[in-house]
Amino acid sequence: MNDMRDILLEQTDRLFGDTVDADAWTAADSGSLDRSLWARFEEAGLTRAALDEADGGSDLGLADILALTRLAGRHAVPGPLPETMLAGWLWRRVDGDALAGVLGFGPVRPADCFTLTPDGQGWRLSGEAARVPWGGVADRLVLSARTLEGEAMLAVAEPVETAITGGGNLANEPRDSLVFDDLPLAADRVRPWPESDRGPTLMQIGALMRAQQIAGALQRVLEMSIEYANDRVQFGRPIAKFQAVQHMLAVAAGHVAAASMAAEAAAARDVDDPHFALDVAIAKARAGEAVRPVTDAAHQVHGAMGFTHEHSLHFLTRRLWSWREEFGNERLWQREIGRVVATTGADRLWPLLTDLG
Amino acid sequence: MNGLQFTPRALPGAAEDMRRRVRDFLARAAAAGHYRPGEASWNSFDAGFSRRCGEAGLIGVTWPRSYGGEERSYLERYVIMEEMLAAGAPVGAHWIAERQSGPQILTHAHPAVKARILPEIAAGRCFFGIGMSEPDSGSDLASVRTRATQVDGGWKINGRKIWTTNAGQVNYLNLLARTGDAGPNRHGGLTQFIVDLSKPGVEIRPIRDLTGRAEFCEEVFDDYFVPDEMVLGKVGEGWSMVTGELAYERSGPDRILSPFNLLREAVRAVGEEPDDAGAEEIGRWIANVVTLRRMSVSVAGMLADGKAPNAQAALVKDLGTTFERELPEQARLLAPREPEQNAAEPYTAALAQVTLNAPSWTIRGGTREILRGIIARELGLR
Repeated sequence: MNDMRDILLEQTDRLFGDTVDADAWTAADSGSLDRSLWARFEEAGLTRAALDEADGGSDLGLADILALTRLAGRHAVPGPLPETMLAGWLWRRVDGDALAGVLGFGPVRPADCFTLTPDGQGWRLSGEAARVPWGGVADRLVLSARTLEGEAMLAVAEPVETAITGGGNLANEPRDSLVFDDLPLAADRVRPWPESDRGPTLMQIGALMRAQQIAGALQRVLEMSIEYANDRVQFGRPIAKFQAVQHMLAVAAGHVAAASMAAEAAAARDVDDPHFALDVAIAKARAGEAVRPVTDAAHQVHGAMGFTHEHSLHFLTRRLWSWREEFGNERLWQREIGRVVATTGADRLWPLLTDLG
Repeated sequence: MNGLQFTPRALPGAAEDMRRRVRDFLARAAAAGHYRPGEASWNSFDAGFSRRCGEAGLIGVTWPRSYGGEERSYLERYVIMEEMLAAGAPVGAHWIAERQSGPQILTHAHPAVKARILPEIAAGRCFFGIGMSEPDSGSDLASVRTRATQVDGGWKINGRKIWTTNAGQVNYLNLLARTGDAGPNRHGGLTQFIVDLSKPGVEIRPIRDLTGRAEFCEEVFDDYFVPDEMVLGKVGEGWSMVTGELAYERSGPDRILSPFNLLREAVRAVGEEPDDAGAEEIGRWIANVVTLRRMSVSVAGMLADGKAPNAQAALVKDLGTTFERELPEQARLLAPREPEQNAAEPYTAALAQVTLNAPSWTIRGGTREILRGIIARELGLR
């Protein structure tokens, strides 16, 4: 299994390396989906990663999808590839049919909620969700919603007939606000979501996705900075030879390693594990915390060149500054952790930490 | 670059069995009044408590049975260390002997010396200090000037060592001395010796520190005689020995959990229903502690696999001790108290204890500047 994963990751890393370049990033800055690039991902089977082999999918589990998500972050892959893989996984988790095309999921904010009301054999969906990633671009969206009785459900909606207010993050990735007003949905477009007190919620899946992307992108930003520091000569030597630069990047490397460990640990956790929620909170909080020191050091090392549009650094750093806000920023997840710890109590703190592993 | 990867490592079942054993030991020791939970750490010296640890088989568990060990894995040992620290148990007396002197002796010492000293360390009856730093040699360890000169049957040592923890109370030092020319890379001509502090020719002077205690000492050696069998490893190979095992010293739970008592008492101080700011601050600490612990366990796993993850260990110590330094600064603003040593309220006392001790944590065992240099080299910047 691990060998299979290694091969898959190696192939995907090569595919991203071959297809995602400065031209692709620049094109993505328009906020539209690069269909020819997307076709390459479809050809490689990535968009159907979570689907059953019988449906032409790769039958990957959450851990594998999250490993690919990290790679997508490392390459700042344009387009909603992680969203598509994870939306497919979410819908398959409730035994839904194989979803094709460009996918998204939401809502992405704790306050946003959709409501489902029965309508004959089917349902009607109403509600608003702000800044859904690729919400107006996706062919289909997997949405969490509640019935009037408060039962947690998943619904699949096509945002075609939806009121969409377009927006974008700092990297101009579409973040669209959606309003559904009694959108009719067939019975098979709605399924009960096995959500309990400990999740997983769509917020948690989204936070885990962003934590992995952040971990991947931070690693890349660090590597770019090391390379630049070794190339850039000032005062007759590469700036890498200055202790001030070395120490700045050594500190950044610590944050990259911590973000990576936090994200990996959560990604390895089974969604039904009682500690999944806490590990996701730790992952998003710690990865988000790493963004400032690492991007700070990276831009400082790159000097004025790193501030230009010509240099590629900003394609990663603008995403990092956006991803840390999406699906809850550090404060939101730290609060979650803090409340769990406070309720657990000081004398049960150490056993909690060792149980977490 | 690849040298700074950390793979998540689950503790094996045997380690969790060991955890139950240590918790049981600690609960019984606390109930019997052998220590007061939460009050101490590895900055302590309680020979009686160390002897009880030895009797319970909790010292040197990775060593061969013939030397008093239990031939257990490095990850089982890790659990003992972290449970002791989290409990605030007074483990300082045997800490250095168990963590680094013992392993060095096991690898490099004369067989007769191993047979004599290791079982005593494991029994919690024999304690060690580190004789590396000198008044003019701190971070620049290669510049040590303490000299060992060959004489009939052994060596004569002259010079001064400093910052040795508990030198006035321990039995031995592992001492680094110059025995020959430094050579072009400055790392040659250094040799380690096991120095018995009960013998004549050494004077020990305690150094009062800013906490009011005298944990550090300076030692002056004046024609001190070391017999040949107490040479540790090969003559002239001291440098690779002291730098080769730094991963053991730098990656452990003592680089994360030294202020754990303050963390626990701060959680108590903000109560079960903290406001948003309180919950966020505690959440940030926990996200960091959990992650640091996973990195530290990952390094322990690499050590268990026989690797030498020196750069990862340096990174864990830098990140861990940076967190340890920040904690009291954030706690004092989150739950304000005027810190006072030995105050009745545990949080107030912990805030004082950690505030006063924290400056030493980013210095002892390798300053953060040295650590960042090691990390930078691994990153390909030097």
